[in-house]
Amino acid sequence: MTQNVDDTGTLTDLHETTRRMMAAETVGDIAAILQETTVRLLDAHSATVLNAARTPTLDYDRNQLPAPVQDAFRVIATEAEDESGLVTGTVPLPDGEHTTYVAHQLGDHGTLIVRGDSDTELDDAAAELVRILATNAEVALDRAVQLRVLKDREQDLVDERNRLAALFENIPSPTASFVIDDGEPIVESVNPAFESVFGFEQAELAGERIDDFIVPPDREREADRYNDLLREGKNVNVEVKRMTTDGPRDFLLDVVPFRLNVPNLHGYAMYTDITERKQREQELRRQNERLEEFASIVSHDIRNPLNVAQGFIEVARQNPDEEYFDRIENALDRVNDIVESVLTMTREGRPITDPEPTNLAETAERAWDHVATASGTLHIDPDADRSVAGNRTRLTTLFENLFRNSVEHGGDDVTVTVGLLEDETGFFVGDDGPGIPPSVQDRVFESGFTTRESGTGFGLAIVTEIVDAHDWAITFGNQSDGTRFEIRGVDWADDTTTS
Amino acid sequence: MSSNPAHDEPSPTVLVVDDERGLADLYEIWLSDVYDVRVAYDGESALEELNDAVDVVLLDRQMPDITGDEVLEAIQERGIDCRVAMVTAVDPNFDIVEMGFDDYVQKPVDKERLRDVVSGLLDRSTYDETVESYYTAVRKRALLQDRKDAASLEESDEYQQLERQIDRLKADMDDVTSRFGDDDFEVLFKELDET
Repeated sequence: MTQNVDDTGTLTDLHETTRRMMAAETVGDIAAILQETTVRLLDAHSATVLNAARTPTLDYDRNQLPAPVQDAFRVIATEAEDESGLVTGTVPLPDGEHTTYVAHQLGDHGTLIVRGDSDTELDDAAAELVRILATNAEVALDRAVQLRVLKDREQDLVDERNRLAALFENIPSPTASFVIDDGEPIVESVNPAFESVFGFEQAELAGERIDDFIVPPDREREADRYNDLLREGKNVNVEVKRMTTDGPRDFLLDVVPFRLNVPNLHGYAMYTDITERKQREQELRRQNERLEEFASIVSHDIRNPLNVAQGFIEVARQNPDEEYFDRIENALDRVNDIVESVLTMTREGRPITDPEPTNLAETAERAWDHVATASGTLHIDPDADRSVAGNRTRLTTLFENLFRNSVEHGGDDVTVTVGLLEDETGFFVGDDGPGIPPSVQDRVFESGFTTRESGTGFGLAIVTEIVDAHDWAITFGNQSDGTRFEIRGVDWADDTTTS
Repeated sequence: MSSNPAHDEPSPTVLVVDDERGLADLYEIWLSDVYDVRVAYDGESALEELNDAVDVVLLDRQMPDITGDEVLEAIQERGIDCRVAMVTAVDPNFDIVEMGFDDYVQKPVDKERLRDVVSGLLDRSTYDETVESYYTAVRKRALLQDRKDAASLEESDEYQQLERQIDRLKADMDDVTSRFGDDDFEVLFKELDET
C-alpha cells in the first residue's frame, strides 16, 4: 500500500529524504535518492527520472528500461513537461498488461515517472507524495546545478590567478605589485627578476616604500612626480635611472594602476632594462656628431686653403712671381695636413672594443719621446704609476697631442706635469706655460681652431675623439697659471688598488 | 650709380680682416687696383687699423682671441661710419638678426663677387638711412629663409622681430621713395631682387 502523506513515519521519511537531497552535491546523487525513496514510499515497481529532450546528463534512469517502455516514458515526460506539473495515467507493458503511472516535472531537469505494479495501483495519495517529492527534488537539483556553476567559475578564477601568478613570477623584467597607501606606493610583492636585478628580497620590500630602495638620491623629485600621476590613476611610461646590483642602469618604467576596491589604488610597476639601447643611442649620436664635424671640416677648414690656392693660381697666371707659387704650395700643404688630421680623427674616434690595462706613467714617457722638445721637461707624479682600461696606442696619441699643445704654446722650457686627480676619478696633464685665455677656452676643442700660424687646429680635437672613444670626459682644470686638462671617468685596471 | 671714385677724390679705403693670411692677401690683390686696401690678420690689428678713413670692412667671423663679431661690436661702439660685410664660412644663424653688419657673404668668394660686394656697399652708403636699414633687413631675411626650414623660422623670436622690422621700414620707405630719382629707384629694387 502506498504510504499516506499524513502518516507521521512518512512525513519523517519525506523530511529526511529532502534533507539528504539538499545535502547531495551532484544531480546524479539527488536522482538516486529520489528514485530509492519514491519506490520505497510508494511501494512502486520503479521510479525513473528522465528528460524528454534526451539531454544525456539529465537522464538518470538506472533501471535499464526496455526500449518500448523507454519510448512510452519519454512520451509521458513530454506531456509532464508540457503541463509543467503532474500527469497520471496507464502505460502498456511488453506483456500486454497495463500499469498505472504518476509523473511530475522536475523543473528544467526532467521528469520523475513512477510506475505502479500489477498489485500496486497508484492513487491520489501516491500522486500527492510524488508531487511533494518532485517539488523538493527540483529545489535540490536547482541547488546542485547552481553549485556546479559556482564551482566551475571558482576553478576558472583559480586558473586565471595561477596564470597571472606564473606571468608575474616568470616575466624576465623586474616587476613589483604595489598599493597606494597614504599617497605612497607600498610594495605588496616583487617577482624573482626584481629580486635579482635590484638585490632586495621580497621579505625586505613587502610593506615598504618602493622608492626608498631603488631610486638614486638625485632622482627623488622625478620619482615623486610620477607618484603624483599614479595617485591620479594615470599610467606612467617613462625612462628612469634606478640603482641595481650593477650600479645605476636605465629602465623603461611602465606603471599600470587599477582599482580593485575603492579607495585603495593598486598597480604593477614593470622595469625594462634599456641601458644597452641608451648606449647604442649615445653611440649613434656621437657618430652623427662626428659626421657633422667632418662635414664642417670639409666645408670650412679645407675650403679656406683651397680658396687661397685657387685665387693665387689666378694671380700667378697674370704675374708668375715665385712668391705666388710658394703661397699655392703652402695652401695645398695645409689641405694635406687637414686631410691627414681628419683621417687620424676618424681612426682615433672609433669605439674601443678591447680595452687593456695601460699604465699612465709609462705611456706618458713614451709619448714625450715622440714629441720633438728642445728643452722642455716632463714631470710624472709618483701616483700616476697606475693603469687605466684603455687603448694603449690611442692613449699615447692623446698624451702626444696634449704635450705638443703645451710645448707649442708654452715654449721650449715648458714643464709638463702628469698626475692623478685628487678624487682619483682620472688624471691631468698640466703645464706652466701662458695658459689659455678664458675667451677662447670653449673653442679650443673644436677642430680647426688654432691661435698659431703653423697649427692646423686638430690636436685637441683628436684628443677629444680619443677621450670620447673611451667614454671619458675632458675639461679645463683650475690652475692659477699655465694650462691644465683634466680627464675624468676612467676605469682603473690595476691588479691591486693603491691608496 | 657708379662705384668708380671721382678722379679728384681719394680712393675709398677697404679694411680686410681675416686670420687666414693667404685669403686676406688675396683679397688685397683683388681689390688694390681700385681701392686703398688695409689688411689685418687678427681682431686686435683690425681694431688698430679702424678709423674714420675706413669706408668698407670685410670681416671674417671666426678668429682666435678677438672674433669678427667682437670687432663688429667695437665698430658700432666707436661710431665709425663705415659699411661692414661679414665674409665667413659660418652658416648664418638667428644671431645675425641682432648683428649690425650691412652684408653677409659666405665663403668661398671669388674676385668678381668680392668686388661686387665692396662696390655694392659703397653705393649703399649714399642711400637714405631707412632704405639702407631696409636693404640689410631684407638681406638677413633672405639669408635665413635660405638656411632654415619654415618651422624653425616660425619658432624663432629673432626672425619674427626681423619680419616686424621689415614691415615697419617698408611703411617708412613710402615716404623715402618719393624722394628718389627714377634711376636710383631701379637700382635699389634690382639689388633687392637679387638677395
